[in-house]
Amino acid sequence: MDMTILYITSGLFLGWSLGANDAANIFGTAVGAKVVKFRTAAIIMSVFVIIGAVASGSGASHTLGKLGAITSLAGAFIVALTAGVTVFAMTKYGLPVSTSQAIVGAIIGWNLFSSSPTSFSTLSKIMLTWVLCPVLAALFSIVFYKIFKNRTKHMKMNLFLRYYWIRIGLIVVGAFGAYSLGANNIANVMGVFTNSIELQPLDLYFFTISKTQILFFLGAVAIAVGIFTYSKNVMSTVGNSIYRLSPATALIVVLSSSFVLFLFASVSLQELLISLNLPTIPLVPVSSSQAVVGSIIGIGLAKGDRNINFSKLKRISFGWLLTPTLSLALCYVSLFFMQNVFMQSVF
Amino acid sequence: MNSIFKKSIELNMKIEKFLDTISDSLSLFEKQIGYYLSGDEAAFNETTERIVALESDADALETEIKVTLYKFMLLPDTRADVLSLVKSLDNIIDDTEEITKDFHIQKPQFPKEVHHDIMELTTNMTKAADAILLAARAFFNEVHLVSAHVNKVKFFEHETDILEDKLGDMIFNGGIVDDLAVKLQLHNFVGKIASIADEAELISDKLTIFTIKREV
Repeated sequence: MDMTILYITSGLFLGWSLGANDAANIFGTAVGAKVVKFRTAAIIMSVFVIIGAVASGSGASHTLGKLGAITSLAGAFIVALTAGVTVFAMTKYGLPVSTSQAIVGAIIGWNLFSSSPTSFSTLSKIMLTWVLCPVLAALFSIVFYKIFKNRTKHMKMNLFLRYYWIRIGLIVVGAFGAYSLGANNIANVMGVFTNSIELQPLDLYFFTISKTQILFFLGAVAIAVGIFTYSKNVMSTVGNSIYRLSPATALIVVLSSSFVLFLFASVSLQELLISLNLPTIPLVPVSSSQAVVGSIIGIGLAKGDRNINFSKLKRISFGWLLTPTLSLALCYVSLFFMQNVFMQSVF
Repeated sequence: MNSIFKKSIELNMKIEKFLDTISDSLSLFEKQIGYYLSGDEAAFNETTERIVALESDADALETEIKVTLYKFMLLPDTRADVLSLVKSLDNIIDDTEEITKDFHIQKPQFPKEVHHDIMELTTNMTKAADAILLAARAFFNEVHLVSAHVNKVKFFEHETDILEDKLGDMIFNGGIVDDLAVKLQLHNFVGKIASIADEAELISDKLTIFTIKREV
């Protein structure tokens, strides 16, 4: 059990960094514009990240499991650690990075090291969602922008009441965003441990919490710690245009990007689509930052702005290749050391 | 939250009252110039007192609005814009009161030949100032109407400018005033009346920016 705690620290570290970085995507503008107090935002985010992770985290995690079912705890430790180190290193050098892409690269690294087959159908599905994520976010933000603009264009509402409702909207959408982030991204944080940890389900009299849910709860708590301890600094970082939106624009951006995260995480939506004989959406962890960038581009397009920042898009697609490649290589080398230097079984 | 909801309504009501006060003072000012030119001293004096009282009311309301904004509005950007707008609108009533007092103290003697144009100047200035008040009301309640009112401000400000130039020319070159000191004094009064329309135009530029900032 002691070793288990030590091994999952790498996942908890990933969770912490996720909370520290991605909270700004959801509440950055609201807190930055002083529409919502940081404390309020942090409490709402933490609660909803935990609910999202525990209630709906299994979908995206299942897909990652299909890419590589890591059976050794030491192996899972290395996969999460190298993903975390990749994110840290790339962030340090200002390169676009996503935890989702780092973890996929690390899992493939583990597959290669352990000679486990990599499901190319799963991999292609995952890679397709990386491209789809910002594209869908842009489409949703165009739709939401048009609806919002039409609905509010001739609305007779005083300025202060308008801001009152935007404020309420930012809190509600922020809670939804946090729920979606927890549901979608918990797979990155704890997904690799689900096959390698043995835990008894927790019987809470009224309901039972499964092993996976316990792990996801711990991961979500790590995200919450990240939100409380470090996200304020990220939110107050001036100069990043993403966080300097007007409150009304931020409402649309957060709503559309959260919607995308929700689509790629909701098991119930997938079941609904199956029951309606409609094509399903793959449940894959995606990057909230890239969804936000997609949403902002969508709003720009909806406003008729033709000056899309293609260099930003190029940097994102560069990250799609660099992040998994780097984490794959790092994971492969680290697994070798873990196995041959620290004499731990990694698969 | 509920408190913010109530305060939002309360604040809007205060701003409406503030705008009504300025609007009333402008209407009185127009009447007052008419009384002055027609030589109705009693009515002129009574109107002066009412304008001075309205200016005091506007100052009190401005202070109340500022305090309410600082206490309850948590959006610094909106607060700064609203404060700046309220301050600028207060300048209109301040200027109106100042011109009223100047008329009362200096009692400038306008020749009959310019009476009609002075009245026209005052009416156009009042229309420009009224239009900015409508633009401000729209900014607080129906943002999409701001540009239509701003357009009116620009129109009446331009009309005021034309009349100001015409009056200046009549005063200095029309042979209706001999004394240079009187010429300068009358020209100064014409400029003061027209300056309220200029102030309205400046506020309209500010409002246009505030409106763009609030577009989604």
